[in-house]
Amino acid sequence: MTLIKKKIKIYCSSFLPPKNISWSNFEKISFSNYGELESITDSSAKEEISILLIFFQDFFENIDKNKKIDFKINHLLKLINKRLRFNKNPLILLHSFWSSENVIRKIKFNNEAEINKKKFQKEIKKNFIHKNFFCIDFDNELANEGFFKTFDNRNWYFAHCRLSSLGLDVLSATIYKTIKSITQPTKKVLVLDCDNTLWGGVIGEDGIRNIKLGQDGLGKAYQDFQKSIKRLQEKGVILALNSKNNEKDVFEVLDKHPEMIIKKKDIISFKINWQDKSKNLIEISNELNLGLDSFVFWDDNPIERDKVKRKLPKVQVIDVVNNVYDWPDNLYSLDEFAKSEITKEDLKKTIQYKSRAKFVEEKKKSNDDNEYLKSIKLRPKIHYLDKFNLSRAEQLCNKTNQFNLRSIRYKSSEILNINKKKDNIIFLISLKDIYGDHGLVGLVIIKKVNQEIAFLDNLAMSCRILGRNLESWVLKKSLEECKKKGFKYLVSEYLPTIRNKMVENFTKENNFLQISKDKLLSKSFVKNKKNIRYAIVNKTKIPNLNAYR
Amino acid sequence: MPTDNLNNQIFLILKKVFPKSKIKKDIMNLKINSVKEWDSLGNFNLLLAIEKHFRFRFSPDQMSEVKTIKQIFKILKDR
Repeated sequence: MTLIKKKIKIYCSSFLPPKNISWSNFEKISFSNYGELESITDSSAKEEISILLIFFQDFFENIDKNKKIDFKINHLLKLINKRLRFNKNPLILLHSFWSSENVIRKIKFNNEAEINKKKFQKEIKKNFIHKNFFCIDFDNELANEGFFKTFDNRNWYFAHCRLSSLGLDVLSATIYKTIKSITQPTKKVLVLDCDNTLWGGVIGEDGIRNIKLGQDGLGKAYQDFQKSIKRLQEKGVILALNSKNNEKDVFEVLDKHPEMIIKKKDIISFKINWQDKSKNLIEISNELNLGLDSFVFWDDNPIERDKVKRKLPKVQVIDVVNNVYDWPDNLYSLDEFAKSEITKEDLKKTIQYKSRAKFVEEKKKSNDDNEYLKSIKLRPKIHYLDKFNLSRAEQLCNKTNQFNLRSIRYKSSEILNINKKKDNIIFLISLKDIYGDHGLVGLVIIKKVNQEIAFLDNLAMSCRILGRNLESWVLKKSLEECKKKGFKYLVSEYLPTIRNKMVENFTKENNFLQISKDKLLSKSFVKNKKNIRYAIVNKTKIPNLNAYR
Repeated sequence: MPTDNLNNQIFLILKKVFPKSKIKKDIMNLKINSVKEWDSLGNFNLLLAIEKHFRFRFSPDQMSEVKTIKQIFKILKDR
């Protein structure tokens, strides 16, 4: 486990022991004073991520008879709302309503805790419009280990700590995975083996009639594993096969086996051959234009797994357990694919990457790039920012790593603020061609510097449509938009990151000029004085646009 | 459980629970406040860590009484 370096602070309704070994995955973790929740709204709060942990048992403690529980809940809701409005850093709320209760009392009626929980969950939903708010039903996590093991009355009476050591570990792990999902891009591709992974047995030896799939026992487990794969795919994960087999045999199963859940059309890339699996992974990565760090590899064979681990450390190799019966749950609950939000674009991903793979293949066959691009009927369009495309704009801004000139990450609220300022320009780009509707694939943010100069603050393009010179068309549109606003110059800057090398010379290749020292005097808006260039709005000719006329 | 082994295991736990303090190999005479980080909160964290490692539980009484390595040793040996 990698250490979390962000500054985090936990506000808890009862006591949590600081410096406990459960917190060893967090480099900078601090705690509010016991039960002191109010300070979460302090303007002096310095943490990058706040965590609010509420045990509703604490609310039932010392209840003043005049102040009903409703009052306390309302007060808490107000506090959360205030924190979200005045502080844009992420807030993770974990709530637990569990209290010991005899099941007989709950036969006909919900008990008080359950009624309060329903009320609370209905109200808390109103805060989901805040993108930086993450609400977790902590009871679900504790229940995985068991309430009697995770709560601890001795610790409560001894130190006012509700949780046992195990409970503290569950808390720490929950916070850890939530922060990971907020701060790191999720994985995009699941690469699977076939024999003894999608089905039991070896197709080349056992034949289609004898593999274990769908029958009672193991056959059902393999089928349920495929159901989990399908569920992930429906949430936007793209699938590829990497198997040592004869392609003909595997295709026969995909096409003809009646119990298969995963069909040929669900798979974006097939690498069914006898070559090294890591070589296959590299080929898939090139085809899809996705970095290996967005890949997860699942193979039952530990030797194949080790080879991939050693040769391609960026690929996330799952340590598959021997017990196939646990696979369906294990796969579906992988942190690597867990997202708190899914956009429309995510849901179309399989179709879009499929057309990407087809595009790459056809382009390879054709000798003349320009003629080829003309033949695929490119139809790009620009869309100014509105409330419907805002979440996609935020996603492009935050999740695009390779084709991203400056990789400045804005939250949606910040994007809105930039857009409010007169003469700033924000637009998104959509693209259709014979391979399909690719949806919104690019984002441009241009900021006004002064009457004459505009600055290309952000340019991000989704990698799946690259190779069409769409990025040059986007620059041309950017210049046209600048012209409408009366700017004379458009200044660009390249800020290097580990992953955006591909755009280092992008504006240079599109005839942006080197900046001479005394020109465009105020350069304070750029970060890196080395990599800046500029275009003259009325004069600079953008090349490579034959396919777009 | 041989004493040497027990000694070493507790030594490693002490190092983990009190990472900023220098713990000497000879731990037998250590007790609350004899190590920089071992205050009352440190004591609670230490007992929880001991419980977790040795998979047993201190009774409520022990939880408030145990404050020295000698006591911990005795309880672990007697259990």
